[in-house]
Amino acid sequence: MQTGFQNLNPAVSFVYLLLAVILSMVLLDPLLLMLGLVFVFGWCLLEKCALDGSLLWITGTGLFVLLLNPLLNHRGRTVLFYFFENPVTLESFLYGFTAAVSIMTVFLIFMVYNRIITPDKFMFLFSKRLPRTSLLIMMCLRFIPALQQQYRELSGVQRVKHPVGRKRRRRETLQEAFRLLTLLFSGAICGAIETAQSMRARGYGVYARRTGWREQRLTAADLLASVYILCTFLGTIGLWYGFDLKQDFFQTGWQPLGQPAIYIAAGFFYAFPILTEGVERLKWSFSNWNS
Amino acid sequence: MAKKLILPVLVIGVLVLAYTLFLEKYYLPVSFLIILLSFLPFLLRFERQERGAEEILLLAILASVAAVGRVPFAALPSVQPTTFVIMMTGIVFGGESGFIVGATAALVSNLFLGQGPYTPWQMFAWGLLGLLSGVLFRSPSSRRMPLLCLAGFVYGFLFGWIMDTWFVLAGFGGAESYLAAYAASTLFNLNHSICNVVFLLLFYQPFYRVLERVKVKYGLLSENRFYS
Amino acid sequence: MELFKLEQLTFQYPVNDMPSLKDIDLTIHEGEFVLLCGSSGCGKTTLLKQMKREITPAGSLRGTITYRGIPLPEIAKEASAREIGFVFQNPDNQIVMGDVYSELAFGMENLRFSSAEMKRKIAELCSFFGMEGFLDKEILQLSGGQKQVLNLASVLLLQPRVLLLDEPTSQLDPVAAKEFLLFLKRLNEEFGMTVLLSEHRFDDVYPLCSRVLFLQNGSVRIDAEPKQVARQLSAEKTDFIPAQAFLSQRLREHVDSEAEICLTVRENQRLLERNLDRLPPWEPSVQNAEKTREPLLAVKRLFLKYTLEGAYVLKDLSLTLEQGKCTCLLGANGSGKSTLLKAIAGILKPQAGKIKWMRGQRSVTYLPQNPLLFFSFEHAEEELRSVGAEEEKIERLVSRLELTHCMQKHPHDLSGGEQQRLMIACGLLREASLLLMDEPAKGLDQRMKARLGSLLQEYQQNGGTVLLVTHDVDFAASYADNCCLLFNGSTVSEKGTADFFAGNYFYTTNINRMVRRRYPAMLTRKEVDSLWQKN
Repeated sequence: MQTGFQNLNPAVSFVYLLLAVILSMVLLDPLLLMLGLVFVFGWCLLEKCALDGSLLWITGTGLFVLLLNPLLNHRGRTVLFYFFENPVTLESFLYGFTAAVSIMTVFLIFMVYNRIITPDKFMFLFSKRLPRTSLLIMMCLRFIPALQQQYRELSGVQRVKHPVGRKRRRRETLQEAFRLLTLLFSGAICGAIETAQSMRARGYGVYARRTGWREQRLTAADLLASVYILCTFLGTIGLWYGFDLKQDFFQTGWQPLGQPAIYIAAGFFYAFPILTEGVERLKWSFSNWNS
Repeated sequence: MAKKLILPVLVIGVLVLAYTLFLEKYYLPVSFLIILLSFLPFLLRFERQERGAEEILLLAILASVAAVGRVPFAALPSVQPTTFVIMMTGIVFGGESGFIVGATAALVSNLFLGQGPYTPWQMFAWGLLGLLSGVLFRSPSSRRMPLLCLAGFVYGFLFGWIMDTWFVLAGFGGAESYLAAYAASTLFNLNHSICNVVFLLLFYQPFYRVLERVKVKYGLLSENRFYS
Repeated sequence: MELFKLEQLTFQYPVNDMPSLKDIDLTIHEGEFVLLCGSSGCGKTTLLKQMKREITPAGSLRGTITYRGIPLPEIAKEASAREIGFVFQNPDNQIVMGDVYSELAFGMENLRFSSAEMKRKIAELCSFFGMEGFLDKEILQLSGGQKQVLNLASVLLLQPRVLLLDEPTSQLDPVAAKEFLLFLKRLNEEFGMTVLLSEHRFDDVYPLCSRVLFLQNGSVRIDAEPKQVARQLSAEKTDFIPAQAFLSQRLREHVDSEAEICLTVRENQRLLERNLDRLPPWEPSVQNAEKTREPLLAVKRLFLKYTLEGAYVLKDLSLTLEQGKCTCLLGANGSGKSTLLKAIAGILKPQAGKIKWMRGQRSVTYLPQNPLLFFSFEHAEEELRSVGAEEEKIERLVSRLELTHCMQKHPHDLSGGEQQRLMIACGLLREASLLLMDEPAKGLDQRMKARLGSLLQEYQQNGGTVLLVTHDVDFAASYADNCCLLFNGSTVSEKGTADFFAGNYFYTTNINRMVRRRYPAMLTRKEVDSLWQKN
């Protein structure tokens, strides 16, 4: 069953995820981003994201960015060593590290996104505002698995009908695959005429705008969460811009940010999902303990 | 009245925001904003224009076919007909349909495979290819094989470059890294390009026939509605 | 109250040279349950579609059609969508959305219902149809019967005054089909909903409906209450009467001249009971029970599942097919019939068990349930020629299956019945030693079914073996040598046709249900007639 963050209104969770991506792209400070990365990673573990495979390529991408930056970027004052006569600087390493952490955090946020914003919730988000677009997407969600199943059956039937040898040339394989794709498409179109009639028969096109059945009221918890999220986000962004904390690594190198409060604000922002989960668990154990 | 103002105000607001971010050298957020903004006209037109059941079904089927198009070619790694299907859609049904099918195909295939920060870029890239095909090959006389193949070849690189852009912006931030990144992805893009050309050479005619047959069968799809 | 009034309605499709509907005068009153019957192409579907404005086909139309006194083209769009519900033949094609709940809401979303209203209506209707069990599922996970109930429910959510249904049960198994018809009956009785239903398999509809329209060549030939229609048609000795009326007509003719034409199984049983001593003895014609023939194919202890974690779809299944015989597989949707055919065709690999062919006889043709999967060429003619059979043979088959006018068309552009026939023609031409057919009688009317039956018999006489899956109990009873019931992935009964049907509740013919106490092995109308032919 769903707990904590997953219980929130999809709109609230979507906004939170969006803001988290924005923060992770804007706050280019290694310490701040590391803070974010740690919390987001913890969140991933909490939501039981399928990390085993993706962790490898996420780290790989991070390393790639980290190592390639110094090779492409030669600005900076502290020269560490020369690589094929090009200076490799500490500052560019620092920049690479920051960018790598930023990318990795964004990737991890999307891992959680895929766990939390299921296609169902995705439709919920957009069916009200963009009814026709969401209808199109919803129909694709029906056709894609249907086509995949249809393809399995089609290829089976056609293989019995036109048996082919094991060894085929690349071109023949290609042509066979394309033939099946065309048949798949043409077959899907056949039924679609009746589908269109069925849509019209049930009033499609009577009104230009449709309504959506998915509707979820904002609960008190949602409101509270929204306030928390907005406060911490605006606090972080406000401090960042207000005190012009952005630093140019290549000029000054890295220094701790002038306003330590930003670490606290960002920390509270990133910790939000873990906090909600924690609060829910505490409540649960209290209520069970009492009874 | 106020309702009518919301949209222009919003667009101008976003543009101002994008500009300030651009001055601050936040290229990545800027690029995301611009990309999302580029969907807006299509989205609004699509929402406002009345479309018959047949039209919307056809778009859904084409987008789904483009999204699962890889499945039959599983035996041939690195061969995928998605761009080909989107290109054909643009040619036969017009640029706007091409954009919608391209963008939708990217979005829905990621609904199954998992979204990433690359989703908007993919939507943009495939949408653009669909749109371009519709615009470039609007008149039947322009649909000559050498031209089509040239377009298919260029598309491969165009797609690759658009997809590289977000990564370069996110990871490197400097303009000097573009060339390096583009050079690094040449092999992938070349594969995509060759793939498109092979598909066009071998399958343009048969697929064109299928789409034309569908168009006649549906009867309702006048090409002009998809343009303008 | 008059719901529909059709006056001198004539309709012609642009491609045809004859009108599909001719001078139809018809009034439908509120609360009626009307059955439309007649052979394929008699205009049933065309007539139904004329009554639903949104799907009226293009063509030339004369005459008038009014709905509650207003000409149909003039009623408000919303009223037309809401008050006139339409359920189509194919359960799959009319589903638009990916999951059950969204599909139910689709129509209401179009008509701008509020979210709370939709949820309330769905909750209410769900319990009426017993849909709670699959409300959260995706469409892909539903059975054919569930899909058709879903279609009916999603139409009903708009609270129509009249329901038009175009052969809604043709793709359902016998149990699901009966259940579906009972839902219609309840809607008609409990809510006074007007129902117009076209059906090929009308045996079970006659006792439920209040009026029958018998269509012929685009005109209403008979329009009366069911008993009277049955009486009139049985006097003419056509096939277009339900088995119940057929039996009582024969009894009246040969045994009891006072017998009434009855429409239910129970009444007929009573009629038989009354005349028990006057009925001649009857033995089924002796089947050549030569078991010595070597089986063409033996399936031994087959296990098959689709996914590693999934349950076995076929469990410890064994089956033998004798050469030159026709074996019929029956069973509910999802019992594994189609899976077994695919395993024998070699499309699916079983996890355990053996499929053993007679030496040198391994050749197989597989005709899937959906003909669209079978075709691979752009013209019907190419499709037939690709087999490489003799010209003369092709022509004979084409004329017998009435495909001449389809030859130049794309197979995907043909109608459902034509596609079915084209696929059957291709299958027969291939002359493999084993012909596997999944629902071959689907979409064929009585006449075509009989023709398919005789073609299959010829196929067997030439040494071919046939294995078919069907829901059509009458077809199985008439043409199968052996029948086999699949339940839950294994064969629970594998017998000669007569033994098989005797004693089943659902998987048996209506004739057998009526006469089983006197003649346990009697299944078909032909056999009923043979009672008196001998004497």
